Amino acid sequence: MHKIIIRVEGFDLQKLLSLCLEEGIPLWNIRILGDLEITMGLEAADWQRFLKVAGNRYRVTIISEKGLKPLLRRILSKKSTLIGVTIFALLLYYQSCFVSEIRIYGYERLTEREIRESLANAGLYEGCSKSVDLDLVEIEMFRHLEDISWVGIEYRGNLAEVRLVEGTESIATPDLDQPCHIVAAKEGYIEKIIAREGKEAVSQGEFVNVGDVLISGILQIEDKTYSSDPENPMNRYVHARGEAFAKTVYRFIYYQEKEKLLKQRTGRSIPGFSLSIGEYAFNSADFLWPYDSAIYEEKIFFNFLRPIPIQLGINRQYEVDLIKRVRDDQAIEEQGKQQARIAIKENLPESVQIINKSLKFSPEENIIRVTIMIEALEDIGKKQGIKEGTDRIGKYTN
Amino acid sequence: MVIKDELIYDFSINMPRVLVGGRMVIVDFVKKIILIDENNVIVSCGTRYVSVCGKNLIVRQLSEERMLVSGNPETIEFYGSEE
Repeated sequence: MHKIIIRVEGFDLQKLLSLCLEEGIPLWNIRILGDLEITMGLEAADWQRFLKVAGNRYRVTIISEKGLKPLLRRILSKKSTLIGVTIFALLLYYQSCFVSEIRIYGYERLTEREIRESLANAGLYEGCSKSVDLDLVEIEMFRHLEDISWVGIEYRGNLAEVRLVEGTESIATPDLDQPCHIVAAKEGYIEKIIAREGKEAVSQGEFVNVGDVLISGILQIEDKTYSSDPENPMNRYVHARGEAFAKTVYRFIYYQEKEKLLKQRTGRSIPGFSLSIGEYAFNSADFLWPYDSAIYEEKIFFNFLRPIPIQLGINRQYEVDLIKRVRDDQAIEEQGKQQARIAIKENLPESVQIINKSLKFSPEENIIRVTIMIEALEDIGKKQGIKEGTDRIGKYTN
Repeated sequence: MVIKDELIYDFSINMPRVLVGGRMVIVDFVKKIILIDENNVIVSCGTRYVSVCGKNLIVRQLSEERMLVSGNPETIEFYGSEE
């Protein structure tokens, strides 16, 4: 794309245009400035043909050139600007090769200082090269910090984001060679007991509370001989194993809005811009907000951290009318189902089997109360060691 | 429009064809520029002439027998013999 804007002076200009039409030379933006003068645009490729058609009868002057080729020619002719831009680009590239900031998310028990020290030992610190192998850093993190179960590092420009998940403390379970019961970890109606080691202590349909023994690790020895004392029977202690499935009920309460707020754009908007240099930030929207209610949208043009932290963006405030509408039953039910799914995902273990769920919507003054009842089938058994002295220990086996 | 008229419309390349919309006039089958100034553009379309009168007329494009005229067109006239 290379266009030339020319001025043609002479008599019988319409004749020249007719000749161009005959020769198939496309012309654009023909402006008649007077009886003897016109300006027009044409492709640079047609320039020689046009000169041949115009001959000596017209005076032709190039006013300007447009397109990529003249633009490149103009840029290349300015040597000092070119050198400046190249140096600037090289500086930008150079500064993009280093980590300028490290942000850490997800720590609770560990301190940020400990994590930063660990990262620095692994080779990731503010000012280091971005060529450092992040996989090796993650492995080093696992070596240095014992209580983390997952760590992920990724670059966002010059910013390194470190996300980690701390491990939970493992529940102390009795050793396999120690006798234990299986007790209820939560309340529920027993559905099925599978005692692989030990003796069933509850029957199907029975309600159990937290701590009730489900599979006993104490087995009474039935001795038919007269040598043993019938008043004081001997017990055998085992490490109880098995599953205890029970129907449990979960109850969650969520709330929903009775009305929904619609933001309808009126069509009026006002543009603005934001500029932040270091700690100083300016946003025209902070001073100029002519609408009672508006939606703010911003587009960041550039955001650099080095050599100085600078960010420029343009924004626009769209005026909106706020309209309140009563939500229909279908929308309320849909959101209720969504809330139920969230409740299940957040509160119930994955191994739990959902048998039934019900939603109850209770309208209150300004809100709707949603009661979610979930009936689930799950293994509620957990191992609990048998305390010494509570029973006379005879012999135990694995 | 019956088929005969449509065929004449499509193939009559020596007849003027003008499309006007808003501030734009498109003249097809332009063979020759007769007169051109800021207020008047007259072209020959072979057998007949088309005159576009108005104010601040600018020829946006002139190529392949098509002329796009923008500005404030006021009248369009056709004249000349229909041979």
